[in-house]
Amino acid sequence: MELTLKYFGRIAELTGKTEEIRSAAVETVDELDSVLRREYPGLSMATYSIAVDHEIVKPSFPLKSKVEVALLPPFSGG
Amino acid sequence: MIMERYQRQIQLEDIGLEGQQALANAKVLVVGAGGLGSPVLQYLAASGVGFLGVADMDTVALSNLHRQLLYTTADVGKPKVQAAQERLESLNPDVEINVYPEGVHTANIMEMIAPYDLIIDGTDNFSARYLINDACVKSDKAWIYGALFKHQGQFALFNHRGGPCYRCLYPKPPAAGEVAGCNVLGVLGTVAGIIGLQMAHLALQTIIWPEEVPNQSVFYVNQQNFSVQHLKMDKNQSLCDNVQSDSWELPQNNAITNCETPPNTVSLKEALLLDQALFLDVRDTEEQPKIAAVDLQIPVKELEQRLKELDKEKTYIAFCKSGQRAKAAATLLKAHDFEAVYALSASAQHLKNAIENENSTTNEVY
Repeated sequence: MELTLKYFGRIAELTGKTEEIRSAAVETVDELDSVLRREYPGLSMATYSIAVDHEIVKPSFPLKSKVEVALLPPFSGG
Repeated sequence: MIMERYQRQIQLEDIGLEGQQALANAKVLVVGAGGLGSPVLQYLAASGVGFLGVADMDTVALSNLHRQLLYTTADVGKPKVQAAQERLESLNPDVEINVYPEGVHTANIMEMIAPYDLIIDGTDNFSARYLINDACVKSDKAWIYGALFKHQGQFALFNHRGGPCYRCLYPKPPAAGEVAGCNVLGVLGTVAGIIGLQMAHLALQTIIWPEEVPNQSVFYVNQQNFSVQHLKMDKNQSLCDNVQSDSWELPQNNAITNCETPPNTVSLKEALLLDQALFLDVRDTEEQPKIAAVDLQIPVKELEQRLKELDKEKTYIAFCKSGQRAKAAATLLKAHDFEAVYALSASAQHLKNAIENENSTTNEVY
């Protein structure tokens, strides 16, 4: 299925991009996360939440084609 | 209270005298009076929030002033709470200001937040943030979160009217050194101001329209393209219940300004005596002076992506201009399982002098 991926904060630096459209043979957020962690090894040490179509979701959340998935790390500065 | 001061906001039909009275009755504690806390305090005081608490143990530094407009050049070196109190009282004498120069700690937080209706997190580290979250969940108080990463920011209202808490978004703190703050990464004053004002606005909304304010949302702002992402989130009820229970202990936070285990810092003399150690220049490539004999150069902001260039079996001494970035680099490497990493407390210039005079017997003052 085709997904739009958005990377925020430090995650954009670890993946080297702020956004990408990709096809992935995955059914859940968790499976997509594994694919991304393989492709971008820096993610394995990173903390982030995942939102699908602007809603923070659990790892088991089922994905549909054309949704927007955002990887959201916590920020620290104040 | 002279209402003329607030005339322009009272004029708004959905605020009126009733809204102004709600502000005058409100008790808000701001923890951390830095890049975020400073605009929050200025705007809440100006709009007539009746009782403001300010907790911060830092003093005003010259490098604060580009973004912390609460302070002036004459305040440099003063305790922040003292400078903040003076400025806020002259900005609006209607407001009663209470200051806490000891900052927030595990031992004092429950008592400190007790008199307040709303807590605002202007801190710059995760241990303080998780401490504030857990204390607010236990005390059933709403709190407003804000944080910065370079040109981006986040903000949210947590634990308000049954809404989610920070742990519902990020259950556990990241590893020490994983996420750097403004002191390491840098920040534009306007970005700190924008996020601080979003937090202040969220506070006004919470006070004036407690039933309408978004309490299940987190906002991500990117000032590079002026975008705001509004994300919905759910409460993790069992997690919040856990935090609320007596068996859940507050996280340890003994120094609000530093959440990370301090890295091993070495003086120049100690560094030169370390056997087989490699010097790692973590300054930006254009910074002077250049040191020809240095083994490696990786700017601290690129370090995480370039870890493969380093060997975990080797000993590294990170250095920069002031020692601050060296500490950040050493902390980051420690978090990535490098065991023998040190931060040089001396400057690059001192290191250069020492290396160039290695065989000389003159007594340098390091």
